[in-house]
Amino acid sequence: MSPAPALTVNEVSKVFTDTQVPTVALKDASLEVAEGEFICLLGRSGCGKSTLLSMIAGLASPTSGAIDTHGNRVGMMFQDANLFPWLTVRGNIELALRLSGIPKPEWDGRVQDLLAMVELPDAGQKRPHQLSGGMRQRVSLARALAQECRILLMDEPFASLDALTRDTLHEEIARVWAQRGLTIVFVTHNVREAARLADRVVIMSPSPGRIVDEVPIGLPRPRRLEQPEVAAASGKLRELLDHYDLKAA
Amino acid sequence: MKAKDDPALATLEPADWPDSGRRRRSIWAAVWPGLSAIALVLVIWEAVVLTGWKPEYVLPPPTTVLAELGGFLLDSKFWLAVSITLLRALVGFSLALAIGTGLGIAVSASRVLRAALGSLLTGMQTMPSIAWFPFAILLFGLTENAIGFVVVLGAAPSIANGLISGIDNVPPPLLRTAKVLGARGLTLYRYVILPSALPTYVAGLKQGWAFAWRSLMAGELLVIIANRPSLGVQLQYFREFANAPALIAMMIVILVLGMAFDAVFSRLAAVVRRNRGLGETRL
Repeated sequence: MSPAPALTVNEVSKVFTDTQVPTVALKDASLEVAEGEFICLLGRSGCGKSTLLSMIAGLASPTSGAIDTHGNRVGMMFQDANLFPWLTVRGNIELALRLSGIPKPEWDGRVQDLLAMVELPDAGQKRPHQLSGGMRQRVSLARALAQECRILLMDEPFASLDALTRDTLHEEIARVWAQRGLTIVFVTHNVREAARLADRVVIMSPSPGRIVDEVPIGLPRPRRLEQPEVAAASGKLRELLDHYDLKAA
Repeated sequence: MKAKDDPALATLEPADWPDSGRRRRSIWAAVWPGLSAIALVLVIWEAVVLTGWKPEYVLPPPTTVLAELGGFLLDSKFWLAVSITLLRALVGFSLALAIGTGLGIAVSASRVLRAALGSLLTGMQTMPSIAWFPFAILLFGLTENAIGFVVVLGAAPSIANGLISGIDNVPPPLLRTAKVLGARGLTLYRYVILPSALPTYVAGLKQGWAFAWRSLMAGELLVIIANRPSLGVQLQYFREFANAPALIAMMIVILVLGMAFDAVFSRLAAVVRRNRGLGETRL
């Protein structure tokens, strides 16, 4: 028996018509993500992975096709943490709580729990500009979790971090994902990141952007980037990417 | 208890710990260039007087003017004039604040209003406010309203434009984030767009204040109302009686008051910027 779907993407296309020549950013993408599944959308720039993600988030609407999140709340993290610079860390999280309609008396406890979860228990009074890039992304994660999302969309959230920080955050996100039973759709162009994190990797290819393949990653968790199995899996992903590039060319 | 042990201070950075010695030094560092500049002006002024270029009843030496200024401080009529002028400034600026802010939000939110009023607002900023006075006097006569009308017209466009450019420059990634967090419509404005626009808005307020103060002085020179002494009226009065020391002393009062309010807005802008990690740019 397979678990219930958390997210269904059905024959979704996106055409941008505001350019001189209409651009097909995504063509007939179909995808089903099970509850609690961690999937990575892997592909080169221009393959429509970010476009797909922003449509799932409701920031853009498909030109054709349908997206169903089955009533799950959707949260999103971006390449930049996008913390609101006029608010403290606590203020950023409280704003998410407020916008989710969570009653004020609960805020204090929730902020504490969320900050503890991202291992920044004492950062509440800090301003975003006083934090390092990795800390900012942790706060961004706490803020996304504050809105009690069941589906978390991540658009290359660690791409601008240094390798060591990225490694720590990989552990963190894997832990939070397991603890909270989240469904995660993670966009990346990094094959090793995909092999390290995903239950299943969805491979996308550019011009026009489309889904070309899916690879289950059956490796046991916890995983580490240095494991030979992870390296082997990322090698396979790389070969597949190259294969579809050749086919496209 | 040491500052480090105080829980209220524990989260502060070391640089924020109270340190009266450092504070005194930093105040001095901020103040000495200004003091030197004032001293330099006084020296040049005195030197020009000593050359005998103009007779002393036209261009008095700084000591005479400063004595006159000291005399003002003991004169109740002077304080009445200051209070009337400041009240006009505050009422006019408050009105301009309300109108400019409302206009700014409306123009930034509506494409039609922007097309209709956007360039007009910028044009209004370049219009010398004194050019409004003949019309204002026709409309309202020699009354408080004529002055208030021009003060508001002078300040409101700057305030509106500050807010509009602040709203236009809200970083799109922050807007996307806010939308994913569920902010829509008024909530989006209240919690994201307006706070994000605040630094530019404060810059607009500062400029609006400068325009309001200029318009007010022009107004007080042109629109003289009986039994309503004001700084502008005093200025006119001293010129008519050829009282150069008092005239210059009054100009200094006007300059200092204008600068004091400007300093309030600068301080506000500095606090807003510091909270967001936008330090001062040093070249």
